[in-house]
Amino acid sequence: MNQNFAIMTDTTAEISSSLQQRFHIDEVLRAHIITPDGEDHLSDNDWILYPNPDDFYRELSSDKKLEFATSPCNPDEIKEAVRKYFKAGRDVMFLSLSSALSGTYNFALTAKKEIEEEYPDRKFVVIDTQRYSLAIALLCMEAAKLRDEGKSIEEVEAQVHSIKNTLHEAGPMDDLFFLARKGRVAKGAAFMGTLVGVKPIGDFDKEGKTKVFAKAVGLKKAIYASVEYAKRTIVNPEEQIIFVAHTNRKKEATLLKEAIEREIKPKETILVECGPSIGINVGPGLYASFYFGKEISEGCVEEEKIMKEILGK
Amino acid sequence: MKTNLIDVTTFLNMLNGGYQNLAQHCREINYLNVFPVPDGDTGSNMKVTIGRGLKAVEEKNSVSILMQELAHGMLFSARGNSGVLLSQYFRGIALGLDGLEEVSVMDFASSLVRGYEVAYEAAVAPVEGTILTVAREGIENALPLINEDTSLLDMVSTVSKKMRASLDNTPNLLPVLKEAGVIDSGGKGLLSIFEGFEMALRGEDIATAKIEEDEPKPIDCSFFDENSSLEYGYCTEFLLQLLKAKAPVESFDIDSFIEFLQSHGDSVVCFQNGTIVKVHIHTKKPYKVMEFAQRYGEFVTFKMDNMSLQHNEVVSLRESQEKKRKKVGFIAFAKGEGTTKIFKELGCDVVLDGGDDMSIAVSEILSAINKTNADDIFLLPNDNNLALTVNQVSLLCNTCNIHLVQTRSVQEGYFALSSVLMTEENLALLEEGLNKGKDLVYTANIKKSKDMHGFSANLNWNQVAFSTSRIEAFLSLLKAIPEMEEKEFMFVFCGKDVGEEEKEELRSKVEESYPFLELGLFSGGQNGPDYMVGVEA
Repeated sequence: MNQNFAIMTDTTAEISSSLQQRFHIDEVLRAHIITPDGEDHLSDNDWILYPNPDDFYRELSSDKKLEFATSPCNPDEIKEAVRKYFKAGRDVMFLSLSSALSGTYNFALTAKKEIEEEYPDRKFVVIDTQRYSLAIALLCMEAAKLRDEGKSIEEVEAQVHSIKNTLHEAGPMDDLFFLARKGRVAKGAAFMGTLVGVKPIGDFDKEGKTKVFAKAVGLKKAIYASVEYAKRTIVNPEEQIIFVAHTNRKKEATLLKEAIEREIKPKETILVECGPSIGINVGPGLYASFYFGKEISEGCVEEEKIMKEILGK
Repeated sequence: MKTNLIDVTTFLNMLNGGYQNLAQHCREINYLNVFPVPDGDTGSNMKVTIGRGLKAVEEKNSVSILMQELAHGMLFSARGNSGVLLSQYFRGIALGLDGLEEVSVMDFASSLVRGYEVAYEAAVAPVEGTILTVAREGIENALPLINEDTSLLDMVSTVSKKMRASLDNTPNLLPVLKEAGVIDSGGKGLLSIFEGFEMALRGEDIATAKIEEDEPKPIDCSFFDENSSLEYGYCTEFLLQLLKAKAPVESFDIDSFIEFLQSHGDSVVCFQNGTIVKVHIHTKKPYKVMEFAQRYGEFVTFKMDNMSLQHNEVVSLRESQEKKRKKVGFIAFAKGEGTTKIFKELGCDVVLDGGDDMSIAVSEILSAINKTNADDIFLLPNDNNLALTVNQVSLLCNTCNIHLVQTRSVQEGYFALSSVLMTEENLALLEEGLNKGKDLVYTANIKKSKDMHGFSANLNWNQVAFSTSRIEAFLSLLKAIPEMEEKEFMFVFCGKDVGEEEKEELRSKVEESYPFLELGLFSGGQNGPDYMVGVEA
């Protein structure tokens, strides 16, 4: 196996220990979460801090929801982690949460400036993935695969940049309260009302914010539309692992996963319940698939057209 | 031999011009403020910073010394992120001019480079698309056009031209600006200063503002009440005098100090000048920062603001300023405070509470239309009896196009609005969506019977059940709905007679009988009917 450089991301990529091992991701930094009691914790994707996801999401649905917060690893934490690999003579590639959603990318750049001064012969490549959650995981997996095939850090960097905007998120979100509050949903759907029976569906825009471009009435229709949309935007499903992620929507996510397996027939689907770093910012109610597909168009014009066509039927 | 020396009086006039012009644009700059925290105080902070700095200036003979005095004064008065960065920018300029007996235009130009370098160093995590970018690109792009023969006026005017270009580009560098449709506020402040320099050098009149007469803003505490939560934290700023009695001053390590700050907040700006440390941080736990700082010294100045208040003041200012005519607006009629709130949350411009009997005067509707101020307005009467009144209104109204959506109940109105993207600008599509949406639900009600001895259940305006118990009436209603087992969702607006206990009982009974139904229970607060029910048609 080619180990000439290390692949690093943080917990916002939703990579659990087992996924990390299976896909040869060297380092998953632990971003911070702040719980309603004011304590700062290191987040994880193995449900260590909150052994029961339901407990976590119940607290997140309560009136304490505003008191949860997240913060990225600071430049020093990133530097420390990189130093470990530099000392061992390895370069590092860091795939960061979208700069439109968080300060992680900027912190990583600060870390880069400092650590490269300290180690002029080593490279710390920082990539703004313009994505969140398991979309970052998919990019890390692809990067690790290319590295293991013997590609150089520069080649892998170029490849990651060229494919990052082909990553899609397809699925409904029950409650836009959290995304709207954090400014993490693209403007144009800035309503905060609680919906019953109606499911907003969207995809990533170019910056990695979620853009809502349609509403489906009822769960069945929402799942049908999500799967149909994925079917029309995905490329080479038979070669892909599709992640189905959810925040406290196991039942719905399982239905979505089954429908994807039936209709799209990917190589594999993996169901993941989002951990606190993403959960706090998305809130309960997301169930979506993440996959590589066609390049996302400017302003999601094409994607919106596809979704409207599906729901128009 | 230096050419084009700068005369002290001209220099001071120029600086004053910069301040005056900034003061003129202060409100406008506050309004632009969306990054890093939309607290709307950038202009005021920059104004105070440079204004108080100018007050500290006494020197009459040397440009270099005058600049040191100004920078020193600004250091002590620096407020806010942009104010602190501005003070560092001026400190850099002062450092660039340090020790020069005579200052030429070229010297001043090169000191501007030093200015932005020092500002970048002070910002712990510099972000492009801000005042830093404008400071840097302004001079870097101007330098090739400046030589020893350039006059002070030409130099300053070249720099401000380049700064303007740089400022116009900030939304492309910082997505949050683009999204808000603004340019960077701190950058705008810096440009205003340079434009003021230019105006003063040209001899133009700048309407004068008194130096630093910053009237204290009355604080509207209603933005932070017992129901609020601390969303933005505190903007905390202080000057710390390091004290030998506390810790060896020489070995004070600013980097580890900054490291501590970064782990306790954001928007950190921190720097040391001799034995004084200036700190700016946005934190939810100021006491931790204070406690840590006091290990090394004591505070010379201290200021702390709850950013939720600052932020909300801007929001309400913006609301009052945004009287711009919209393309599409929505007016809906509600029954009770609960549904009024729900319709507002969905995005209606005006919601009229029709009360029990849904009686609303034509004049009220007309004034709602004026308030909405849109080219095309969708009107949802949400009642059978209102349809006529509303129809009347649409005939009377000639300032905009009224699109009447014939919703017969609050339930139909709620679902029609839920099921469309209200931001859609295609009118035909919207109208079609709203009309389709209202037909996707059945309207049902549970209300007290006329003789007050029981409760009648109506489905689509026909009585289908009666019971002396409200919950029984509800459950009978569900049995009367064809293919109820197949339904995917139901929402209920509970009237003010329905208590929490009853709601819970209802929830568990419905969940028991219809485990696959998505149920939304809202507090409607209406006097009657006790339950307004919408169920998938």
